[in-house]
Amino acid sequence: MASIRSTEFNSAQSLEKDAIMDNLYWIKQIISIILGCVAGGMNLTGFPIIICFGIAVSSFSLVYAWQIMKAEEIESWDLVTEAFGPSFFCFILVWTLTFTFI
Amino acid sequence: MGYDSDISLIDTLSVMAAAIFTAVLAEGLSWVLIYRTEDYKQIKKNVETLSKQLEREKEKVVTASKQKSQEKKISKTDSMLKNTSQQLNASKMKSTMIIALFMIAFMSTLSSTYHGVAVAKLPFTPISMLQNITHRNLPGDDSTDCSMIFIYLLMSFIVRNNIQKFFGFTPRTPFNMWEPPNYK
Repeated sequence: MASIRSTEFNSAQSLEKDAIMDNLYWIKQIISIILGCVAGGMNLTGFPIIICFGIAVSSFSLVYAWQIMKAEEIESWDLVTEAFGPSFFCFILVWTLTFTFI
Repeated sequence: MGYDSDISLIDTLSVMAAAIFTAVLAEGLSWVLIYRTEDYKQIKKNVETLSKQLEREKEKVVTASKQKSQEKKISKTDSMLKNTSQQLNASKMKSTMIIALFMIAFMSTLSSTYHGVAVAKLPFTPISMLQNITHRNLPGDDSTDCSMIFIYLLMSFIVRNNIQKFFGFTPRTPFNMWEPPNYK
C-alpha cells in the first residue's frame, strides 16, 4: 500500500515538474521577445547585451521555479537550460529585427 | 543606428515567411512520416518512462550499505535510456534526411534569389566563424550586414522547436545538449 502511494506521489510530483517546465518554456519565449524589442528599440549593441540577456533569463527561471512555484526540488541546471536554445535565438532574431527597422 | 534605407522590410518579411512555411511543411512531413507511426510512439513512450524512472532513482535516499547497488541501478537505467534515445533518433533518420534534402534545395533557391542582398543589420559583430553564415554572399566588409540565411535559419529553428513543443512530438528527457557539470 505504502509503495503504491509512494508511486502515486512520485507520479504527481513528476507531472507537476513537467507542467512547471512547460510553462517555463513558453514564458522564456515571451521574455525573449520582450527583451529583444527593448534592446532593439533602445539601439543597444554589442556582446554585453547578450550576456545580460543570459543572466536575466537564467535568473528569472530560478526565481519562477523556486520562489513563485515553490518547486525547489528542480535542479538549477535544468531550469537554466530549459528552452535556452529557442529563447536565445528568439532574442537574437527580435533584437536584430527591431534594431534594423526601428 | 536604426533603419537602414538599403534594407527592404519586404525582403526581410519574405525570408521570414519562407522560413515559417518550410518549417511548418517540414514538421507536417515529419508528422506524416515519423511522429504518427506506432514504432515512434512506442519508443517515445519508453524514453519518457525511463527518464522518469531515472529521475526517481537519482532522488532516492539510500543508506551507505545500499549506495553501490543504487549507483549500479542508476547506471543501468541511464544506459537503457541512452540506447532508447538512440533508437528514437535512428527511427527518424531516413525521413529526416529526406526532409533535410528538401530544405537544402529550398534554401539554395532562396539564397540565389537574395544573393548580395542584406536583409537586416546585426546589433553586434559576429565572431569570424559565424560570419560565414551571417555575411554569406554579401559584398563589402561590413560584418554587421546580415544575409538571408541567418534570418532564415533562426526563424526556422524557432518555429520548428515551438511546433514540436506545442504538439508534444519529442519526448522530454533529462538529456540536453549542455550536460551539467559533474562535481563528484
